[in-house]
Amino acid sequence: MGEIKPVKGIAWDNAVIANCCWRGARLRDILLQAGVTAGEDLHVWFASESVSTCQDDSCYGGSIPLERALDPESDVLLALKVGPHINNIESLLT
Amino acid sequence: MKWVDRITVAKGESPNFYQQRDYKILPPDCINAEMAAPLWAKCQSIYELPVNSVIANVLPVPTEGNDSMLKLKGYAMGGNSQIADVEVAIQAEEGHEEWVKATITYQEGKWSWTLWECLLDVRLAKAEVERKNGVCKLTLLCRARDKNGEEQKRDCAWNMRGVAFNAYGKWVLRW
Repeated sequence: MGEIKPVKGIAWDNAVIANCCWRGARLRDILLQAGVTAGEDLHVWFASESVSTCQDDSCYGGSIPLERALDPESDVLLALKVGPHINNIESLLT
Repeated sequence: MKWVDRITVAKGESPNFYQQRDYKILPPDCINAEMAAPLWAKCQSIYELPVNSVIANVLPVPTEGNDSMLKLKGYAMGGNSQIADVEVAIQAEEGHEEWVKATITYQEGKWSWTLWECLLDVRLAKAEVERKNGVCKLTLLCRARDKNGEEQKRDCAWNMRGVAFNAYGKWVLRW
């Protein structure tokens, strides 16, 4: 997009992507076990409070709608482990 | 990638800067932070990236009597569903491009990337070769569609943060 007009952001290019397996628990299962039920305008907030030096806030955070977190089709995962990386990158280069 | 150490269910979105004032597609005429300030709250957060594909490599294919056969390789990512098709073409006048279906060589489950490859004979593309100052130029394109029918468009509107760019994949040959 920076070729159209400069952007205010890091100039990521096409190759910044990875293909790997994530292992963990469905966020849906954890929320249901904690007694969370669907409700209007509810969101799930994630925070990384241990990351104490963020450029623009005291910690890093974000959120998704609760509906999405509970949707089995969305496969929202609380990841505990990453791997293996199935990067197949060699097959693109040869 | 960040470690999560707190999960909270609450009304409304997280007030964190990275939820409120980032990862949103601002309108194309918003060109600086001052213009963006009142707009962030009106824009939806990006929860899914749009369908996308990229030409990662172009290799000559030695063929008897023909030195214009190329093999294109690349990847594609679906929006909220896995990739269904990838096509490639030599860029020409819009509507006059011949799209060739690529072969999908890797795909796993719903969320993996899709790897693809495709042969293209550029010998017939004489009309599409641009010549300027002794340099010839030919542009190759790729595009993908996912199983929900989401498709890439030729162009993608500019936005200030440069997020969610998914115009046709492009590779320029120069000789």
